Amino acid sequence: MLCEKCHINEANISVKTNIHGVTKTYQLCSECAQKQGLFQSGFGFESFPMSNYLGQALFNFPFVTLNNQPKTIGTQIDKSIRCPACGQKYTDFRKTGLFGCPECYSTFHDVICSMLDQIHGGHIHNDTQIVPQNIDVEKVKPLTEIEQLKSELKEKVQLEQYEEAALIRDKIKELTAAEKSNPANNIESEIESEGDEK
Amino acid sequence: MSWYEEHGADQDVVISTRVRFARNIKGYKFPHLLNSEKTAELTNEVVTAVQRLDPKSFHMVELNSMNLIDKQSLAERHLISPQLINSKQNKSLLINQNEDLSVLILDEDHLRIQAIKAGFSPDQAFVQAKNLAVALESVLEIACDQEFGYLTACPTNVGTGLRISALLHVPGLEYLNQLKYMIDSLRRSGFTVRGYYGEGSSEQGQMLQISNQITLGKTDQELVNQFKTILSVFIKQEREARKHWYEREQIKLQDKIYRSKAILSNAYLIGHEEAFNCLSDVRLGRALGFEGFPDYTDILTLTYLIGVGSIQKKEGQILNSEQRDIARAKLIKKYFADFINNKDH
Repeated sequence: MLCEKCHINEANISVKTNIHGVTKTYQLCSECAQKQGLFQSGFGFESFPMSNYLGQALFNFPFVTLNNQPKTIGTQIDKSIRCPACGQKYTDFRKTGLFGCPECYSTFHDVICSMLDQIHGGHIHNDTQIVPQNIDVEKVKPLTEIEQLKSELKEKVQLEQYEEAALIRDKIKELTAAEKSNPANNIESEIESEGDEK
Repeated sequence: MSWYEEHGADQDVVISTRVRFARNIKGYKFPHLLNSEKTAELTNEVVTAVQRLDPKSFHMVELNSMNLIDKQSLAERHLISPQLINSKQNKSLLINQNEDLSVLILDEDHLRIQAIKAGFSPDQAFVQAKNLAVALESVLEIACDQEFGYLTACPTNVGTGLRISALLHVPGLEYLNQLKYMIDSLRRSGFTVRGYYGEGSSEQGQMLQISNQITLGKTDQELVNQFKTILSVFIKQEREARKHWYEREQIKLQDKIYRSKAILSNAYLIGHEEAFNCLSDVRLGRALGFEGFPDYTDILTLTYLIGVGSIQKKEGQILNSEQRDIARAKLIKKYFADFINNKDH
């Protein structure tokens, strides 16, 4: 099968990750595995007994750029096309690295998809809040205490600080129970399953 | 009180956290193609919109009507990028009183909405910048697309338009020769590492900026969460490195830090780079809990005050290099003397 990262080379390495008790397997080519830092060694640690926390954390989302989105790499463009709104050609973009106007994204749609795939690992925006006409300013509020605690819990689990994680989990359970007892709130708790995985 | 005079989390390692959203307005070309007439029209539209939302909080400065010193001082406080100091196009900055929330009009994009906080404060900065970005959408027609998200002049910002960055003090990792490896790991994983003044700047005073590179395909909240995870690990690594350094070379480290403090307290002439590096050592002394070292807020304030532009702004006149070095040394020396006197009484 092809490498799940580059979709170009034959996958010759199987990489297993275990994140929050969930095991996933990725099939990679050796080049991509190396680019992900899986074969790092001898980086001058001297006698410093530091464990590779950063490597572990990065590994928790090893494919920041892999969004399982359709890829369009290699799209060609007709160089004579000009954007009707600003008059810019694709060659102008190549010179400055900047598009001329928002309309350019429609004019050069296919090549932009290809470019975004290379830069961001995909070209499809993922944000449910993009409804400019119906924005309710009141809806965007600071993180709730539960959301903040959930974030802290995730961090502690990643750092394998389970005792502290358990305390945070209990606090979240307490707060979630209090919220559920209030009929105005109907927040689903994801914490039970996270706790069980440990 | 300015934001840098306030306390924040993890200040022993993180100096500040910034979140900015890039936004553009429908019907206008991107800034590098706008003529002066359209520049004025767009600026007016944005200023009116912001005043409609919140007439009291923001005041506006036009960069073209400012002198070089004032512009340098803004760049030194990370409110504009150093590249904008010499820009011919008229750019405007809407800024609140404590300078933690601003809208830069006509940088690379029509709007750059920025929140900056002391220490490691990604949630606070995110919420503040996002609230303003969302509010602005209710009064301005923002360019966005169902497929690509928010449209920006450069394709590296498209999607969420979110850039979250933290300025870190990393003497421990530098001492242990770990920085190169850490930076390589970060870059491979979709994060950008830059020097103190952002794009194109070199690493100085053992400080560097880490920011997200990917802006599309994930929600802004997801990007912030990823950033938090990575940074919390980086902070922990830096603390471990410092601990190891201290255990291994306590006397040498104390000597280095106290010497820097002595230079700052006694010099009659001091260049910006030397002062910056000495302040970096003093910051480390504070983090290691050494006696008689000023607070992080004071060190950061002093770091801003001694910049090439800021020192001239404070003196109220144009100074040559030697005059600046004298004024800088005097300011720092007075500061340290006051600090010691306040401690004694």
